[in-house]
Amino acid sequence: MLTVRDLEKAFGRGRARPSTVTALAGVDLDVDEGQFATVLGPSGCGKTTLLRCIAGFETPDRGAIALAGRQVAGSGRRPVPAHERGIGVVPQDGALFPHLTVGQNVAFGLPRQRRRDRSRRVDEVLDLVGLLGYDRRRPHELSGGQQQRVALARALAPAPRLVLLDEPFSSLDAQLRAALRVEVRDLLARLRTTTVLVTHDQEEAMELADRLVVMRNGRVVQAGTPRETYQRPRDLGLARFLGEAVVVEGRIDATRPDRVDCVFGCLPIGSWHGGSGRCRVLIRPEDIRVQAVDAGAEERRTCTVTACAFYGHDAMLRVRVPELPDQVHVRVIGSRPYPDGTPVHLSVVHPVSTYAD
Amino acid sequence: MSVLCLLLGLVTAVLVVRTDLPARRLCTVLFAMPLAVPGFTSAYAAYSANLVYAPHTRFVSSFGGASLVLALTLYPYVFLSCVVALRNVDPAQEEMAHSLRSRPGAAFARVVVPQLRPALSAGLLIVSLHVLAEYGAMVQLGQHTLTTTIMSEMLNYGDYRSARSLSMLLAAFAVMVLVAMRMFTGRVPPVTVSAGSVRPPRPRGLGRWRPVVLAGSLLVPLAALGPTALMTARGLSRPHGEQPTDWSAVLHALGTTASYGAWAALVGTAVALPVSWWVSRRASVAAQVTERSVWVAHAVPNAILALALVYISIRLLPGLYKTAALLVVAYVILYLPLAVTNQRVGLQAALTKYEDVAASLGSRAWRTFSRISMPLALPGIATGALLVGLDASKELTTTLMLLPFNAHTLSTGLWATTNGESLDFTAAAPYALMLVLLGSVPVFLIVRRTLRHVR
Repeated sequence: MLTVRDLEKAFGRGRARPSTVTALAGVDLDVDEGQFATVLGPSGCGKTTLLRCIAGFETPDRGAIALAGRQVAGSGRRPVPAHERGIGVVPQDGALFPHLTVGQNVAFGLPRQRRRDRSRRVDEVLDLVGLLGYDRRRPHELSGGQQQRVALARALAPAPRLVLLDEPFSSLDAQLRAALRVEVRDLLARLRTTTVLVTHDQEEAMELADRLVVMRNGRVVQAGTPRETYQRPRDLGLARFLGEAVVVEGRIDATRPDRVDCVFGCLPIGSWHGGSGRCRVLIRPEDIRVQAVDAGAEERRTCTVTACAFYGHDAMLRVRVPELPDQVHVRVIGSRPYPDGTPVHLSVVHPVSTYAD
Repeated sequence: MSVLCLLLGLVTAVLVVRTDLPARRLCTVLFAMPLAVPGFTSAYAAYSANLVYAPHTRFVSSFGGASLVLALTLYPYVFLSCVVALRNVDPAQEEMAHSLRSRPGAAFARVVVPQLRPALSAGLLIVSLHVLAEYGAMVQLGQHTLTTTIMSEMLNYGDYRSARSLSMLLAAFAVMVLVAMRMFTGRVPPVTVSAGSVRPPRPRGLGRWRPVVLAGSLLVPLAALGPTALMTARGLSRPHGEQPTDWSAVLHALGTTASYGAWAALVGTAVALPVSWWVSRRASVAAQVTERSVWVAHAVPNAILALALVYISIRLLPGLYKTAALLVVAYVILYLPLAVTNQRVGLQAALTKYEDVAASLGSRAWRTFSRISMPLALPGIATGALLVGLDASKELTTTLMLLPFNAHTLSTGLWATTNGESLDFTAAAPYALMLVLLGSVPVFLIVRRTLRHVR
């Protein structure tokens, strides 16, 4: 459906300093029909520029963008202007036209047709986003969440082939954000609309994505399902960006290449990304089991809980392991208390990933 | 003189925006009202008032007195831009300064005033250029400036050559002011209009000083408008009988003035729109040069501009000389910057994000412009047009030199009655009255727009 190949874009820094900032340094992206793709990256990684190039607001310096088999930008031809691409856009703050009513906003992208047909379509999409009857309101009379719903309805009204969402939930409060994003995902899935969402919030990206694309410094670092990307990140930086990570030193014996020896014992390797002999081992905090150690028992290697961040449903322990310089994060079920100083025993229950040292 | 304007404008703006002055809307209109009175009218009124009520002093004709009179007529330019800027300053920033242990006065001086710098400098620029170019008021107040000399060389002696060389000097001086202003303000950051998340500032209670401050501040418009109002009333109530007022001539002049003003506003807006569009959407060197060149045209005093147009039209297009069309062209060149700056502010409110979204909804460039950008920029465009119309109808120098034969505008009519040193205001009064009334309409509209759109 959407194919982006080797996209490059640099911005000049103004006439005083002719140096340029590279926003995109060769980006490849593939999104299938009906797929919900999220582009995740820290701010300044070029993800918004990518979105603007796809929408047609920016012209890429090099590379190609194709939409449903038709090239819209690249290879010497004049790029197809934004208004001919048929791509819906929902910007960060909604950007509802302040001088038009909700109904006029939604109807803006509809082709010329009879008034009755127009207003029927407006009602239809407003109903989709749960705002039927709001068409006479003005944008400033709506709450932030409602504004974003209207922005989505406006983007969906002309039935676009592709919808681009640019951090549409970031200005909402946490609870509304969580509720609205699920609602939007379900709606777009029901309509089978191909979607690209850009965000810096890894939780949001993983929750929504059929396909997760992680960007860094103008490049795509890894693309795949959220599960695959989380469990088998290509490098340690990516691993840390996607969630809490425990990284310890390990050693792979040439005779047993499917196992790694480390402070937690001899562990099976789930994904190998280089390293033979000395290597680094990635363990997710939720893959570590905690067992209480009886106070009286003689345990040669005892770990101690030093802090506990309680989140309700679960909790994150900080545990001091005698052999390690840094403390280790361990995720546990929230219902069981772990007072500071509790002696515990740690074991890893899931295959780990290894990286070159 | 400019400093006086700056102080008057800033203080009145702060009073209106940041304090609980009673009847703030009315006060805003009052503070802006001197804009409706042409400089030479109030100068003449002040001069006559001085003669009538205090014949032994010559305060108004002294340098200080003349400065005061001029400052009182010009400060609204500073006032209006400060009101807009003050309302756009996020009060959260001031609160931050308070939380950082800055006392209220210090917080205002250190956080708010620097943000007013673009507004202040723009107002100051307009004021300085006006002073340089002012002719009528200077003559009335007996001040000799380059402009008055040029005009007298030309009008009285027909000496175009020496007028020309003096004009060069004056133009050079004006450009120097422009350059100095750029250096003083540095690169003025672009006006950013926030997405409306800025809370309106909480007015500061004046407490028991309220009546005092109100009375004191009302002195400003009173001093500015008082003499004109007084002399007009006096002139109207005591017709001398020698020359009964020819109201039909006055009304005819009113019609002429209004139509010239309207044409200037219309043509000026049409000419300015592409310029301001280009300047606000493309940050290229060429765009910046264009914007500045518009200001250079404004910096060239109107006497010189009129002279140049006279010269060009006589030499190249004799058919155009002394036609209304040429006069409108002169007005447009003179007041283009007023239109461009205001349109730019408006166009910046029509952010590119709206245009992007409109394009993504399949809207062509022209439809996006007419349905999104234009309506959003309308307040700025309208303010620009009103200012051009207002200034064009007040304009004296250019009008005197380029007016079609047999035509009279209010300002030339007024000038004709006062020029012969005849010191009764009787003949002039109807013209002054009409001028001020005509000027009040755009001033009132501008103030209303200002108050509505910058909430």
